[in-house]
Amino acid sequence: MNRRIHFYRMIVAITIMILTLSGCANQQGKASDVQKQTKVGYYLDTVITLTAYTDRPELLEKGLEYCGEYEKMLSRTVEGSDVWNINHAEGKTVTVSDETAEILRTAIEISEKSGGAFDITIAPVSVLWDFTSGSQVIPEEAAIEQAVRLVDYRQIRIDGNSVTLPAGMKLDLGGIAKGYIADAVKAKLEAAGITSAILSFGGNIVAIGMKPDGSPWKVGIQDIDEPTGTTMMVSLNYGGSTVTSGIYERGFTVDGITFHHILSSENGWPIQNELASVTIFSDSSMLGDALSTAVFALGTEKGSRLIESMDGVEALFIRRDRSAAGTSGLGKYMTDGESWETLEQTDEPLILQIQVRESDPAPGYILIQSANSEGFLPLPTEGKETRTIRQKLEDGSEWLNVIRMTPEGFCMIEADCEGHDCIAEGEVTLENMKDRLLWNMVICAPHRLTLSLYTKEEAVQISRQWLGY
Amino acid sequence: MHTATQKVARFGLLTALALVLGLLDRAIPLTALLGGAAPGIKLGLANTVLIYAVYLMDWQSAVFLMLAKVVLSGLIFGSLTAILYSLSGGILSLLVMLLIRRKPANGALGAGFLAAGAETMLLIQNPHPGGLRLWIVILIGVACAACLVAWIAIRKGKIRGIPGTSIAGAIAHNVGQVLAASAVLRTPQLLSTYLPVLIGVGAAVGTLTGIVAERVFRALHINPEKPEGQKK
Repeated sequence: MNRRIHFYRMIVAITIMILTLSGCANQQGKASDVQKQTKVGYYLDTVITLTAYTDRPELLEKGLEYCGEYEKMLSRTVEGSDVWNINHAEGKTVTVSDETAEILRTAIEISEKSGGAFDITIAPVSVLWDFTSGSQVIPEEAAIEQAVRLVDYRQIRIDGNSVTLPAGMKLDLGGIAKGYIADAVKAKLEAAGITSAILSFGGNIVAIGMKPDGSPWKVGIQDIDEPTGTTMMVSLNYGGSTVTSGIYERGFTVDGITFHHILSSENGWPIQNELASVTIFSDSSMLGDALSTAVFALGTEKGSRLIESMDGVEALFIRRDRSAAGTSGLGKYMTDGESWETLEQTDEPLILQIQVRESDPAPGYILIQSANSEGFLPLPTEGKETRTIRQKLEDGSEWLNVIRMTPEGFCMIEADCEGHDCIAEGEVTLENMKDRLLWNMVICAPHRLTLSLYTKEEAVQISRQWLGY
Repeated sequence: MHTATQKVARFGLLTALALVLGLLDRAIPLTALLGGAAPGIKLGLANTVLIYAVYLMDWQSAVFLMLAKVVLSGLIFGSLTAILYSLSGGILSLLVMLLIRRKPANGALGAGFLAAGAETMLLIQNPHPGGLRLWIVILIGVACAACLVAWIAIRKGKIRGIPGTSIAGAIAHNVGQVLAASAVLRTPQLLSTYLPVLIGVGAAVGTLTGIVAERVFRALHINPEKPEGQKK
């Protein structure tokens, strides 16, 4: 009897031991297999980095394979892709995949919402610009003018999976395809059981869940002048996506003027406004991708109005003067210590243009030359306008100059420089500028700021010189 | 017969004098008198100290005085950018004055030509000037004539050469300042637009300070044509 009990006890003990051991082994096995895995690929002219905490790195390989498949479907340059077929159909109807049809429908929806600021028929213009090879060639003005006439999303006809595009027009899904692919890869990885990952597709960043320690994934928004550094940290508190469109991503600089890759669907030139970058927070990266381009083109004011009108979407604006502004719900994405202004407090942004056309309505232009920017500010066609020229200094302080403009000319009305010579220099008008000692200029020497008044004809001439015509 | 103590005392006095005259320059608001339309214009009385140094001391002392004046007045009254502008003007002006101190008549003649050139430039830009520009054109015309009169007077020995040196120095000072300003502001158009005005104004105020320096030397019974260096 005793022996028997002893035997049972031994069996129980051994069983417990085995169970415990195997339990340990299981736990150890899990801890060593669930590691940070990273896979990098190059598709759609973009470095794609997939990072996940998983014990199955082959899933990430799969993710990259999907990217390759989507590239074959959506690339403008891959022969036989849906987009290539549409672009080469010469007006005939083409049958496309469900995915392509879905992207096209979303693209047209965003085009409508943004009044055409986002437009996937930009391809005739974008083929003229070469931002990737380093050739630094500015296209012919006439060629751009001709190409931009072919840009009109309203001409796309979609019926189910049949797409028709008038001959000559061409599609470029560069502003939306990466977002779609990011969403698709995220969905596939989630379906495969991955619960913690961060996927980077160039400007598009998509998060799955949180980090293993429960903290949110954080994303840095690039500094204007340091393409590798970061200025601002934002958190993807709810998973979701950030998409950033910025002037520093692709482009080149000629004579101090940056020609970046975000082209205006209206005139075919790189968009020149107060913005350096726009970041969109949303669940859908496809939506964020299209909106980031649209909102960049619209500028801070109109862009934020568009974002506020939509649910579950927020925007962060970083201006060229490095000030930041955000839409009403942005706060929940910001990490501690980051500051941005609410949009109500902003001045009307100062938009300097490098291209002046004879057809523009302004009677004259102020050439603004400061320590870090140069460009034209058009005079108002009627009434008075007050504008603030801010120069952010490296130590964080600011130089301020306030000018008042009329259709005839302008004068400096306020400045925080010493001496206030620039205010004393008085008004420059198209009439009096030849009788002034400083000719057409108002100079604020301590702020390294020169403002010169030019007639429209002179401004057109200077603009042409800059652009190399 | 100069001990080190004497030398130090003299430098101290001259530096202080230059600073005080600089203050006076700032107190006489030529820019404001012109309605603020021409920034950076000063009478340049402090320049008389440099003229004294150019004629009565060696060139190292003159350079030292100029640097002391520029840096100190910049630190006391102005900003770093102000130091940059006056340094550029000060160096060029002193260089020119040291080069022509033995031949001041040439300075007057050169200044006359420059002023005439500036006048022509202004008239080419706007053949029918109005307002302040008209007054400046007249002022430069007068200054140009004054330079030529000074040239003749110096050549004939009627006056000493100090005004000649002073005019050349004043113009060089303004040229230096505009060069620095157009470099800092990255606006080469300043050279064609504002430089002629400043050359003309330089000729005018240079004549004035030259006459002041001449009077001062006479009152102090100093003969600048026979500096101490040569006495030894």
